[in-house]
Amino acid sequence: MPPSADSRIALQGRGVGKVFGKGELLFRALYPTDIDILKGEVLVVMGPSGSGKTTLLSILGLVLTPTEGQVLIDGYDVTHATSDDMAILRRDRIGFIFQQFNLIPSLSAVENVAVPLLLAGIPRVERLARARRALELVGMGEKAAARPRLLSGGQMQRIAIARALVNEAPVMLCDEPTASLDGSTGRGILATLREMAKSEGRAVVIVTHDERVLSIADRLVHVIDGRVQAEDVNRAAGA
Amino acid sequence: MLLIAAAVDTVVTVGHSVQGAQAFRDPGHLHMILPALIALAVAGALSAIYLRWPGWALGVLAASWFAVAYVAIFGVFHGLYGHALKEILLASGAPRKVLQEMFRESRSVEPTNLAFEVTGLLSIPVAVFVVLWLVRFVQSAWSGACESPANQEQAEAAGAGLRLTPTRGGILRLVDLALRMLFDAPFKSLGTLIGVVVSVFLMAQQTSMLMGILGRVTSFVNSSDVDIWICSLSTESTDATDTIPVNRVGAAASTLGVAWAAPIVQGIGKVTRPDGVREFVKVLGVEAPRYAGMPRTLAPGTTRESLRASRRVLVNWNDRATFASAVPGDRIEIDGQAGIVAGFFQGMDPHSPYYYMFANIDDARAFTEFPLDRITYVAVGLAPGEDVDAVKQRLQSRLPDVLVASREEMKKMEERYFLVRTPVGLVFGLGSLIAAVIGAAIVAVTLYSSAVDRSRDYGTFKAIGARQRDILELMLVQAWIYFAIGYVIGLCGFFVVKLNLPQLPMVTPARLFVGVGIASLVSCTLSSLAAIRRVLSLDPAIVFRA
Repeated sequence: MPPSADSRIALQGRGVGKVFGKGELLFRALYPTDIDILKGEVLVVMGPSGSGKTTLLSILGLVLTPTEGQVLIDGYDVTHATSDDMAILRRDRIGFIFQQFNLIPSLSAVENVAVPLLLAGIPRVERLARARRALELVGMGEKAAARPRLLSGGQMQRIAIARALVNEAPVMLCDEPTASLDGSTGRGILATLREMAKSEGRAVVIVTHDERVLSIADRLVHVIDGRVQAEDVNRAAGA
Repeated sequence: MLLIAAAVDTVVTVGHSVQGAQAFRDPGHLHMILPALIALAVAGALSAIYLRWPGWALGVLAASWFAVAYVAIFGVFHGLYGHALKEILLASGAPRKVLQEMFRESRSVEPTNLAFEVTGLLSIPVAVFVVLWLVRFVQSAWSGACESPANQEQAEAAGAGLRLTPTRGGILRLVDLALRMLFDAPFKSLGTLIGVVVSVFLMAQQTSMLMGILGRVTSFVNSSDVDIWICSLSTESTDATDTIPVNRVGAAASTLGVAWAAPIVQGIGKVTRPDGVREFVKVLGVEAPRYAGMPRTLAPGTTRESLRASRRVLVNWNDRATFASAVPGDRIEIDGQAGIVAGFFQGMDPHSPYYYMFANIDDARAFTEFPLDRITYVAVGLAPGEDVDAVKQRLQSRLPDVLVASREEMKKMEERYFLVRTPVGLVFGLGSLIAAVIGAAIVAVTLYSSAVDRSRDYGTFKAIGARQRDILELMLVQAWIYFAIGYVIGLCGFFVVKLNLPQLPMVTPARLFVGVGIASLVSCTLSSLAAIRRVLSLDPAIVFRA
C-alpha cells in the first residue's frame, strides 16, 4: 500500500521549494509549496515570467531536484530515487509537452512519437504500431511519415502530445502548449488536452500565460515571486 | 561499472598474456593472469557488498582503494609503463642499456609483436574508465547522492510500489536512432567519415609498410634453414657485423646437439648495371654441399648445385630488371670481375641499398677480397629432437668469444637495429600515430560540435526518459558507426593502393587489420568522450527554455 491513502492524487508536491546559487548569489525560485494534482483534472498554473511556474513544473516532472520537500507519485516519495529511476519514471509516468515542441528534426512524426518506447526497449514493430495509434488519437495519423520541418506549429504540437501519450503516462505536464500557436490551432490543442484528462483520467498540468487555457481548467493556481497563491477557483470555474 | 571494467580487463589481460606466452614461447608472460583474476574476484565481491549495503562507508572506501590499486597495477604499471612508455622510448632511440635498466622486470624489451603490444596498451583505456568511474563515485558519495540505506529503501519502495518498467534491449536498439541523427547532417558526417577513412588508411598503410620492411630486414636470417647463428660479439645486425676466425666452424660442428655447421661469408661488392650505374651488392658466400644460409625457395629451374661451377652467382628473382639478367647464363660484373648468373632465389628481397647475391664461398671471397682465414657467420643446424636453447648454451660455453643467437634472437636483433638505429621505425611509427591523432581529432571536434548543436535534442531525450546510460550508449554508437564505416572504406582504399602499387613492401597479416581496427575503435571511442561529457552533464531543464 502506498503511504498516501488518497488514490485520487496522481502527483503530489509536499513542501517543495527550490533555491539556486550560493551565498550572495543565492536566489529562491520557489518557496516551499504543497500541491496535489488529481487524476482526471486539468490544473492550470499561471503567473508572470520568472515567477517560478516552470521551476514548479520541472520539479513535479522530476527534471529538477527540489532543495526541500518531496515529490510523490501515486503516494510514493520519489525525491530520492536514483537518477536512472527518475528517468524511468519520467519515461513511463509523465508525458511532457513543451512550448517549442522539442521534436527531433531527424526523425519522422511516428518515430518522434516512438522515442519513449525506443528508450524503454520496446521492439520496433510494436513501438511503431503504438506510435501510429497515438498519432491517430490526436488526428495526425496521415502525417506519420512527415518530418517536423514540413509540419505547422499546431501539427508539431499534436505530435508532441502523441509522444506524451504513447507510454500511457497518467500525468501530462505542459509548458506553454499554446504559446507558439494561432488561436484556432491553440483551441484545438486545448480540446485535445481536456479530452485526455476527461476520457482517460489523466492528470494534466498546464503552465501558461495564455488566458484561453482557462476554458479547460478545473483548477487554477497562481505563482507570483516564487509563491504559489491561493487557487482562483471561481475564475477557473467561470472561464 | 567497476565490475564490468574488471571483467573487460580480465579478458584483455588473459588474452594479452596467452598471446605473449605463445608469441615469445615464454610461459612467464602468464604472470599477469593471476592479478587480473584476483582483481575480478575482488571487484565482484565489492560490487556485491556495495549493492547489498550501498551506504556502508567501509564498502565505499574499500571500492575506492581497490579502484586506485587497480589503476596503479593495470593501467599505470602494466599499460602506461610496461608498454606505452617502453614503446615511446624505443621509438625515440633511447639507449638499450637505459631500456634494459628501466624494464629489467619486463619479459621482452623489444616490441617485436604488434598485436602483443596493442593488447598490452588496452589496459590503459580500461584504467581511464576506472578513473572516471572513481571520480564520479567519489563525487556522488561526497555530495550525498550516493544512496544511504534510508534513501535506498525509499528508492526501492518507489521501484517496487510503482512497478518501474525495466528497460528492455541492449545498445543495438539505439543504432537506428544514432544513424538517423548522424546522417541528418550529411556534410558534417561526411567530413567526419573522411577523417576516419584517412586515419584508417594511413594507419594501415604505414603499419603495413613498416611490417613489410621489417619482414625484408629479417629475410636473410628468416628464409633459410639455419637454426643458430654464430657471429662476431660486436654484431648489432647483419648490416653491422664483423668477421670471426674460420676455425669456429669446426668447434661448432663438434658440439653436442649440432647436426651440421657451415661457414658463410658476407662481403660488399659493386655490380655494374647495363646502363653503367654501379650498385652495391651484398655477396653471400655459402659452402657446398649444404649451401647453408641460402633461401629455402629458389626460382623454377635453379638448383643449389648450380653454384658449384666457378664464378656462378644466384640473383634475386625480383632484381632481374635491375641487373638486366633475365636468364641464366647472362654475364654480370662484380668489382670488375666477371660472374655468370646461374639462377634465381626468391623470398629474400633487400631492404637497404645492398642487393643480395649468392655465390659459392670461394667465389664470394674472390669477388669481395674477403680474408681466407675469416668468415662472417657460422650457420648451425640442430640434430633432430634437440632443444635450441640447450644447444645454444653449449655453443656459447665452448665459444665465449663469439655471439651465439637462435634464429628468433637474430630476427629480433635485426628488427631492433632497424627500428632503433635507423629513422624508418620512427617515421612509420609517427605516421601511424599522427594518422590516429588526426582521425581522433576530427571525430572529437565533429561529435562535440554535433553535441552542442543538438543540446536541445539530448535535453529532450533526457526529459522524456533517457537514462544517462542511454545517452552514453547513443553517443558511443554514433562514434562506433563512424568507426565501422570509416574502417571498411579506409581498408578498401588500402587494398586499392596495395594492388596498384605492388612495388611497395606492404604486407597484410590478419593482426594488422585487428590492430588497426582496435586502434581506430579506441581512437573513435576516446574522441567521443568530450562530447559524451558535455551531453551527460546537460541539464534536461533546457527543454523548458524558449
